Amino acid sequence: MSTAVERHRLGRGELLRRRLLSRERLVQLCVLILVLGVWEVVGLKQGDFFLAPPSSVLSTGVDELPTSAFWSLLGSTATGIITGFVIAAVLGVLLGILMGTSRTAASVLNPIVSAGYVIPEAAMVPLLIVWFGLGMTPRVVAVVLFAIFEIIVTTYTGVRNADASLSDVARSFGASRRQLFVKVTVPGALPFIFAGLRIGAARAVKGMVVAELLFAATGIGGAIQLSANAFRTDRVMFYVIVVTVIGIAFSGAVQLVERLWMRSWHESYRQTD
Amino acid sequence: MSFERTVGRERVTTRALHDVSFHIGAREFVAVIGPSGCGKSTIVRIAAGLQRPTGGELRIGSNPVTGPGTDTATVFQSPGLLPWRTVLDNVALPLELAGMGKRERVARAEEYVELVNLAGFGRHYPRELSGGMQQRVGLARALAVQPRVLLMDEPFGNLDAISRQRMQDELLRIWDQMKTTVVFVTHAIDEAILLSDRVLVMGRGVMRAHVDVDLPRPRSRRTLLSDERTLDLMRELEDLLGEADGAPA
Repeated sequence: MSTAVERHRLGRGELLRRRLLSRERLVQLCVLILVLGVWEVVGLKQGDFFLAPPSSVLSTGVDELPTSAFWSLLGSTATGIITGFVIAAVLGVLLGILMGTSRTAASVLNPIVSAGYVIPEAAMVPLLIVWFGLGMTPRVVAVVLFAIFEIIVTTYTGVRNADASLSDVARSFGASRRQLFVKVTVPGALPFIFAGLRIGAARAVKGMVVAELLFAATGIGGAIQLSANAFRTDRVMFYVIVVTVIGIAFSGAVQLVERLWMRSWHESYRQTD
Repeated sequence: MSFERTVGRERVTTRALHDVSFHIGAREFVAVIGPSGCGKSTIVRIAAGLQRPTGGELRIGSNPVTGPGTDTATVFQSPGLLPWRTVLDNVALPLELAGMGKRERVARAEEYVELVNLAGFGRHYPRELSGGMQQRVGLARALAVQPRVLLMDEPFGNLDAISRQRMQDELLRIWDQMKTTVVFVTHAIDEAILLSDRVLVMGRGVMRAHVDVDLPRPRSRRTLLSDERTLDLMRELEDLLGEADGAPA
């Protein structure tokens, strides 16, 4: 029997063409230009105070970007986000797996996780300041609180939804509990786990900025707050864009790890995405 | 054989098998037929070590089955392939679980992938294969264990008629080569007659009858069609199944 599925790689040129010159790209570009155009016109009419137009946001950006003050703000914010996210990811995945594999753990932790899921984390930030002061710690804790519940819940769902027929097969071939877990349950839950991590990454960025807004003195969130107090909408806009870029870059990074890790899942996992 | 579980406010006891006693000879191909819910699959699950009988025991050779092991290997109705593993890695899974070294298990997996006519598909993923091909992988995986008893639980039940016939032919060919003991659960009378040496008829958790399939081998659908005996057997089994079901035949 000969191979029925044929694969051949597209050349670099064709790949690039397909990525850049599709109808979707064209429409995307038009919409973007339209939005920026309307914003520019309205902004110029209303003035910087009410709505800074893209052109003045851009020039603010060009002024800010080379300053060392900006990069130290960015560094501080990014450090907090990454530290908090890593803690949330490790703890969240472990707890989710624990809940997925142990009925007792699930029934003990479920109410706590459900409660944590609906708590408005922002309301906790003042408490965190009281408990941990104004350093890096309370910001990291805020990031963990923002990101962890999403990660726990998706991991738990993924482990619990493990295909029972697959476990049966592995057990019938003599898999030990550990082998079952490592070779069947966890790989089966990976798409869920990564979905949770991607959402968690975006929420980590939000958590950091919310915490900094309430601190009013640190990081990019603090800069937003100070600019708003000085009615510098152009700077507010610029920093919001910076935060957005951080968020996109961060969840893009998680997605990249996911792609590399789950290469073997190919389409089958992308279809369930 | 009974299960007990607590459902809401009730304790529910399900008796799947009451009085089932049978012996299967070495290298014998036995088909088990019966209406759905008669306990056929329970026998396979006990033999595979997935369930413990609440009373009685099941022995392979002189060893009672107490849990999963390499004495038996099962082909399930749904092939149960790990979607993130290639065909070869799926076939090698039981060997990997048993702690066989990588080189050895890959070589063995390749051998059995070839045996089920999937040479060239070793690096494919299950979703790239048709239902029939996936079930071949399931068969290769079970055979690669080189079990004393091959258990098959309605393995071709989910396939379309043509793939099903192909798989039956394939199984006949492979069994001819390997001559291992096979327990084949099905609800199709023609399938049981084509494949097996003996048919066990079950109904409501009880073994109703044994019927020897005294048709010459090698068999094919074509030789069976021209044999008078085939029709007699079909009639006999049809009647037995009717009785087993409790419905008027």
